[in-house]
Amino acid sequence: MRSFRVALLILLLPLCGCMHAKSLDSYAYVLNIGVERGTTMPYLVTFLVSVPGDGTENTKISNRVITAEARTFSEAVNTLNAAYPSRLTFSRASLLVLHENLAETGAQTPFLDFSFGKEDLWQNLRVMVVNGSVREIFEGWLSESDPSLRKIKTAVGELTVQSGLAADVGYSEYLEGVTEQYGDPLLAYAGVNEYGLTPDSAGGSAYPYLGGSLLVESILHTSTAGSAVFDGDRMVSVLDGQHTMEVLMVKDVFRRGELLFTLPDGSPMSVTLYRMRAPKIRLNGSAAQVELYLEADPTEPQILSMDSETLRQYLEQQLSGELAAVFAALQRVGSDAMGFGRCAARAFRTAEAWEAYDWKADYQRLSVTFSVSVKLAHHPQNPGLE
Amino acid sequence: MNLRIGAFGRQEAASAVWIATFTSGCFAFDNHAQFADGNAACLTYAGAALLSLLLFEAVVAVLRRRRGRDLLRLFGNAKWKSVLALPLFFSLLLAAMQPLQLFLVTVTEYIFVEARQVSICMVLLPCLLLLTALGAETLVRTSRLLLPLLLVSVAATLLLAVSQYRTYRLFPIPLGSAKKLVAEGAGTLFRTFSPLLALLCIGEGSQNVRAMQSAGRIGALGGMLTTGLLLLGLGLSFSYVQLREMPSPFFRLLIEVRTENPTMRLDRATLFLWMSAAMLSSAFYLYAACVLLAKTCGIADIRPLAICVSALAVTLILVLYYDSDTTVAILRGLYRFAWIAAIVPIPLLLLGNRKGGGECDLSASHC
Repeated sequence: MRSFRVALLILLLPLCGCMHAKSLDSYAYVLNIGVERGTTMPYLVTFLVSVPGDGTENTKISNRVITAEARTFSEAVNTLNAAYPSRLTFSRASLLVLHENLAETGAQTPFLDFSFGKEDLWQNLRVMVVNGSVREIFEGWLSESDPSLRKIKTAVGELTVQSGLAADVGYSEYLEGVTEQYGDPLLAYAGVNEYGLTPDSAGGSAYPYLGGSLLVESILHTSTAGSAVFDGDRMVSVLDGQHTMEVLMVKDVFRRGELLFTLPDGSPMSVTLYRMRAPKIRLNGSAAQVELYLEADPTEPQILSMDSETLRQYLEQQLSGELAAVFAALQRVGSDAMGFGRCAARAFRTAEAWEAYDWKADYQRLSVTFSVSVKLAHHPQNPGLE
Repeated sequence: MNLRIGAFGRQEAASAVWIATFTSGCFAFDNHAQFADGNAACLTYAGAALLSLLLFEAVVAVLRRRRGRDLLRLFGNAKWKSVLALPLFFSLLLAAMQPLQLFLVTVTEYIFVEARQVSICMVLLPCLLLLTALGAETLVRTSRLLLPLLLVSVAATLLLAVSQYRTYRLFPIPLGSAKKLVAEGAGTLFRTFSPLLALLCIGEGSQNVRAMQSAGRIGALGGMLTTGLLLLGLGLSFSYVQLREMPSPFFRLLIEVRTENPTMRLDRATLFLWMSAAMLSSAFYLYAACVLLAKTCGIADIRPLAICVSALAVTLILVLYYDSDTTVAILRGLYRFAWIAAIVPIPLLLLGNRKGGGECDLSASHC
């Protein structure tokens, strides 16, 4: 037994875990990854990197933007690792940004077809499309007053997502949308405030940012709201914040959000809508019926002239009309962003039959009836609950 | 005789079976085969689990009638016992390789991404050797300690992933082809029955057959329930097409959780527990295979056998990486039909005993 133990100890000796050890401050943590078209190579890869200080007071954590042109993700990482004093690590990466002109041709697909595991990347990266230079976008998120990771994440992710104006989609969900027939991807859309705007595809007069009101003038110079609509891996149009909310209502992702309607006299009316229960979607051949259940909290003084029932019916009618317009716009560009494919899958009894089925061909012939049921939380004339 | 079976109670044995059922259920060698017919994997798993339990109950009923304490009692003095023991031995070896292979894939894909498989195996091998050589008592008692932690980690994983569950991913529910469901269920039967087979091999260590039966029931039902919940969680989180291509779906479930709170990032801690469970269940299977071989061939000391069999399992795993695709294809085929090796000898043994054959000679070393 003694010789067995000695042999075991000898075997364990070369297994020292401290070999090739690196101290934590020799790493640079990539927070955001951006991809756009390169000039000499197919892709320009941009990383927003957090570099830890050396522990002294004068050297705090700093965020830097670094770029490299490459043919593959690994090539970009190797290039930057060779040129950068710290070793890049991806364990804290939380955002993947695709440039609009790359997404419009689907050219990001070969690039994204890399092994995430090899770079320790999490599949829960939030994916987003931008319409400016990725470097500008990243620099726009960096605020001199608070360059911390939490501030960036809060500004980019939580606020826009919680307001219902942007689609919060992870990389895995994006891949599912690209490769399968459950519905096309709908990604958050961002841009630098001063940059030119892409018009909304559903016919609204609004900007694609911030629910169609104003471009934000904040300490952060990049705004996020609205969505980029995909047909498979190809970006085909842009929706503003309000239309994004309406798509999310059908997908049952919407929880609350403020929508802007036009009253019969032409004046605007702002209503906060809440999800009451899951929507009902019935798909029968080439006809679908969508029923939405929402609670409305109108606060505008302009509606004092309407009684509760008229206001409720007016909201239902307006919302149904907008949903039909958004669906028509999506169908025109061939995108099933509302996810009717999910209902189509229910009719199949074998995986092979579902995989062989061409849902997109039938989607082009689909006619959808939207019916919205609104319950008023209260009316300005009667502040109590109805 | 130094078979190192020792003595253990119902809780310990149930824990070992629970962990082995869980790891065998979750860590399939071939994800493509497991999710070939979409989310039918959950349904076929439930069917296979039920069949395994019925088979276990049948063996235990015969053992109780014959006052035996383990599967070896059914072999008796039959001359063909080695013919029946050999497929069972190989099925246990294959069962042990499954979690080991997943251990290696997960560690090299997600943790030590720059490490070579042979380096990981150099760490894996001594641990496995030690665990297998220490015997049944050590294995089942360690399982008893690990099980609560493992269950907490599974519950935490499933709860943290709730926000990403979508029921549409379960569709289409493939109930159309009964023939395919049966074929898939047969493949799953190997994974659900192996833990019970291992328990039957080391049953001598339990207090009596009733305790072994109870441990088998509790462990198998608990493990099957845990596995079923995890498979359902996977089905709700990923489409079956994605699941087919994932090297370690359970780890992907962990790293899919999107949270800004770093304390909620439980991936590494959970992985450590799950990998410990994988190692423990591999050792459990290997030890059971060694006991089977030692008793059949009359080998007095289990340690040399444990070392050889553990080394064989790790070597076979390494061959997968360093040999051609043919090896992978062969192993896939073996796993597909491994249920024949694990299941077919059991009815033969039961039938042999029914006819009065295979009477045990109590003076023989294996009784």
